[in-house]
Amino acid sequence: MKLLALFWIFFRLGLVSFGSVFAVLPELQRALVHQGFITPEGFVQAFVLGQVVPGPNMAMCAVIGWHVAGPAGAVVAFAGIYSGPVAVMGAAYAVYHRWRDVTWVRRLELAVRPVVLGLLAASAVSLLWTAAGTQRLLALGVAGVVGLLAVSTRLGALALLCVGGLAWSLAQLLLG
Amino acid sequence: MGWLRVNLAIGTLSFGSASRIVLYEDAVVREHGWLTEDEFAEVVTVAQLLPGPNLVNLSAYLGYRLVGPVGTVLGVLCLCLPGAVLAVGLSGVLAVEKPWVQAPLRGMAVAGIVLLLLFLWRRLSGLASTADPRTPARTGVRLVRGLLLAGVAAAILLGHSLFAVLGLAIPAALIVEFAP
Repeated sequence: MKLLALFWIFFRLGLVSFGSVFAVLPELQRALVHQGFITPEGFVQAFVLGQVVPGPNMAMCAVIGWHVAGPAGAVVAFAGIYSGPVAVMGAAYAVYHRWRDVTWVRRLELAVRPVVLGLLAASAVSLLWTAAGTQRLLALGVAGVVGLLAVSTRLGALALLCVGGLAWSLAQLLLG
Repeated sequence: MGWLRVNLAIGTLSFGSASRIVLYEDAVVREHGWLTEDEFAEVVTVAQLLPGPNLVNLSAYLGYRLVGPVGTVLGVLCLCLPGAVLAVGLSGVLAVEKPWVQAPLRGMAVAGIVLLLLFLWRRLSGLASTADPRTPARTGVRLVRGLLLAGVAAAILLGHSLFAVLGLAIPAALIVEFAP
């Protein structure tokens, strides 16, 4: 039952994860916490692990699955999140090859664009809130440093993540 | 086999988000010549339009087109498994409740969110596009798109269910785009 519930959470969110997992993070967190599968802090840690490994950031789903139900949970979460999109793309391939009216497809994409970006914005704000916990000033400071480096240097994503980790650790050491 | 190798390479060696679409383009268009530049651009549009992470959608759609259903599933596995296994491994090794592990993880989480915000920022200019690349959208259309974006974000942050929000926002978005 637990595995089934886990699969269902990931499967239905995989079907609406427009753009990336970021679009559904708040809903994913809400559903998992509501079922008692994970704490908000555990969720943020899974998010980080998903960010530091290569490949799609959906890797965090396997971590959450493992956390909830061991190896079977990891497999169920992995299959749940990816099977929907892969099936949908199969259907899309079959249909799209018949109607290759690109303007029409492009207009659909343009139409859903603001919705996708709105979901992204909500994810960023709610994650920042959870990651900061009680240390909101520190979180804003670290975010400022990373943001400044990101726009003024050519550092890659991995380097910037390391800078963030270092900055928070140093601040913690210095401030006690 | 070539297709699986492409996916495995991107799945193990790529970090960061949107830039990885370029890695597929490099491999599929320039290195192997499986698709032309134009065909690839079409595939990217379909991958972004439909639900699912862009990178996985892209791999799946290219897979169906290039190697058939079995190759598609294997390709997606090659793309996604290395990161998932590594993430699970790391989560087992790291004692996340210790403060000296917590601090860098939190810093990295914040940095990851900053990357997300920057990605979002770069994408905002896309709200001014229309189906014809030469004519930008009218001010009214841009304004409505901006309001739609803000409305969706606010509704989610206020705790409304994703499905309720999408159920209202997607029809609204379609009306805005296709209304005469």
